[in-house]
Amino acid sequence: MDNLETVSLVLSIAGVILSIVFFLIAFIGKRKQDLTREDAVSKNSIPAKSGFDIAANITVVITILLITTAIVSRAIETGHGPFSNMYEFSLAFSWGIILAGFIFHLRYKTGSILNISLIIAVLLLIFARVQYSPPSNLIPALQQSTLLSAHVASAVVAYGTLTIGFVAAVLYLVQNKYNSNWLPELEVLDNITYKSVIIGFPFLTLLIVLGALWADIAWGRYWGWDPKETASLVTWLIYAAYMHTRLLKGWKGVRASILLIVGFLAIVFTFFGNYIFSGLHSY
Amino acid sequence: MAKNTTNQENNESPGLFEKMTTWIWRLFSSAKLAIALILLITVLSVIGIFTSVDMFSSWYFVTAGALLMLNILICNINRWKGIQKSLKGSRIKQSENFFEGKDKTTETGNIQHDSSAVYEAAKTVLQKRRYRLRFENEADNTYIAADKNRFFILGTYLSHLSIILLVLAYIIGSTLGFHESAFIVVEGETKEVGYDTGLSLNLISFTDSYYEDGTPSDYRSDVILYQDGVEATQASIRVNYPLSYNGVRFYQSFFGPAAEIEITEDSETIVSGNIALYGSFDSYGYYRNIGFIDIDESKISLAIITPSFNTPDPMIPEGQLAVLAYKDGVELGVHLLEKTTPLEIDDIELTYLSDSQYSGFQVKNDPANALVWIACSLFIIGLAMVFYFPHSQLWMLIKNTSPGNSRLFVRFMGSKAFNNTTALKELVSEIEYKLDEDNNNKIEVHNG
Ligand code: HEM
Repeated sequence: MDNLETVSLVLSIAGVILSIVFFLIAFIGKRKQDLTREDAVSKNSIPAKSGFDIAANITVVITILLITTAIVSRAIETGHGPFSNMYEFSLAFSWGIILAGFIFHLRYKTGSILNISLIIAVLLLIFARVQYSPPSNLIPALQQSTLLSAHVASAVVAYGTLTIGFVAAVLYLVQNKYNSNWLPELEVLDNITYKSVIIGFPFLTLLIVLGALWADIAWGRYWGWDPKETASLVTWLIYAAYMHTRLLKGWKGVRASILLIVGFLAIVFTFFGNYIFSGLHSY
Repeated sequence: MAKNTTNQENNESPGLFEKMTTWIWRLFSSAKLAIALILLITVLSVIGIFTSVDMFSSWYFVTAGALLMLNILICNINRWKGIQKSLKGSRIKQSENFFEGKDKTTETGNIQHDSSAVYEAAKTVLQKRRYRLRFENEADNTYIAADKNRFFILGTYLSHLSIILLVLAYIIGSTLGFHESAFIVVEGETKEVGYDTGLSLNLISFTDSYYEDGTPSDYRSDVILYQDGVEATQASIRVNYPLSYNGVRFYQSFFGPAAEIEITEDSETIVSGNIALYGSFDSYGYYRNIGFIDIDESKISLAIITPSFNTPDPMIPEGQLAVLAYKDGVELGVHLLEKTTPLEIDDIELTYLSDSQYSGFQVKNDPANALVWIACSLFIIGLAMVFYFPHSQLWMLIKNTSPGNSRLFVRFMGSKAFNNTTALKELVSEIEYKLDEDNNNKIEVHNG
């Protein structure tokens, strides 16, 4: 199991890099086609799918399966979900990012978003590999497998989709400035950012609720203003601000993108928070 | 005369008062204030994370929170009229001006069908998209008002009022309930919970177990709970598995050493039992546990101290205890206490019989416990309603321009969050496509 886990992880890192390369080759090929055609319409016409496109998609699917294998074999070995340390959680988080990126790609055909998400995911996978720690026994506070697994599962969905929103928001700002026909159109990018939030925000809420539920039965309190708890509240409030500016003030585009980027930075801060401050959370 | 003046004053002062209340009402129903308060609380929380200031019970944090609650409340009351309108559905007949806007409206050029055919096509397309359709005919014009998911807008109420409910639950919990964070019971002892619960907890034993590598694997208290002196239940309380009885919960929280001590005075036993050594203190890097015994009759206080638990102790040998005695606040000296060897201090005789443990519980009664989880669920349900079933409305005007020719005007109002132009374009082209399709079918029938 231990071997299978490590091998899958290393292969998945290779897999992500390979899919990035395939996507880039396909992407550049497509642009060359466009440029030689040199008509403005080509931006909107869907170019023929190149072999590299298909190869990239297949590699992504294989990579997702490899990370799944690593997570599952780890879970079989430890007997619980990926919640006991940074290694396990980074693995799950990168899985969420790639899966969310792939689903958005299937729906919106935006390879560039998936590509940048893959870069974030591969950095996380490498971080996971560096952080590797052998399975260790659970201290009593973590012996609540069901709740903690649900807590982390919500985190994976929330953080995964909100990462896609972040990438789309960054691309929005870039596209807004350079109006490049290498990137998706502004309207598409803006819609993707909002879609990512309406999936991510409910799960972010669920994440916090399940955390409070666990804290209530483990420590006898729902909420203790522990730094990690507060950081997750801050994240949640930023996304709530995003909802209100968008629904009530019609904020879209640049300002909405900036809020989303700030929200994502809050996620990153919450995620790595335990390196910055010591709280009750071990991850 | 006098009466008259008061009347006048009465007439004027409500004017000012009214102005004030209207102003306050407007302020608290504004979205700008909501956004500003949310951001303010965000910033305060960030400061709270990085500083050691007790931000979250500070007056400014609490005030900002209270203002936000007021904001939510007034905002939602204020929206009720509009919501009611949306629930009823808007008027069907709209003037032509209504269809002349920028991004939410569109009109087609000439369609070579009469308005009834266009109406049928629009009806099919809208019904396929699960719209509720209402229409009116007037002379050459057909008016359509359609909407979808109108009841789901009530989700906004669920998600906002649940936040107020959550705050309410917190207030109820902290005023009507109780929370004892250090309820210490030594092995063998039965201790009353208090707070008019009639409960008392007996600790049979406390067990701490460890994995081979030394990390803790389990903390377990085996207890008997008595209600008014009658055994109510027996349980093992572990971390993550509290004991819950009649709304009172016992959580395994901490533990530590205890010592069985017997004290006699003139061969009469005055103290006998386990003493929790629940304090700990640092003396030049040696961490030791400490517990206290007060003997009121002879005005003697004893501090019982364990050997250091972090490094070998040069002063107190393993298996022994140190006793620091005071009489009337005057120190009588430090003695070492060996197991089962009686020690005389002043008039009393002290015997250290055996080691045991104490267990520290949190005891909590939160009458609003269920309310917290109801509020959280309502929030998420409300979110799902608004996000996944967005309310949208549209209006159409189909104008017969001449026999067999018509034009279609559409105004669409979906969620502000989405870009509606694309949705609008898609809708109209689908109707046009449908018309063509119907036409082709007819031709086929003719041919056949
Ligand atoms: C921390 C406090 C708040 C949170 C977490 C919150 C949450 C939300 C969320 C998630 C939405 C989008 C979905 C929905 O309607 O359920 C929303 C929309 C909205 N919020 Fe809030 N809200 C808060 C405070 C407020 C306040 C103080 C106001 C008053 C101005 C307000 C007014 C609105 C309105 C009018 C909408 C638009 C609903 C729509 O048009 O679809 N919210 N809020």
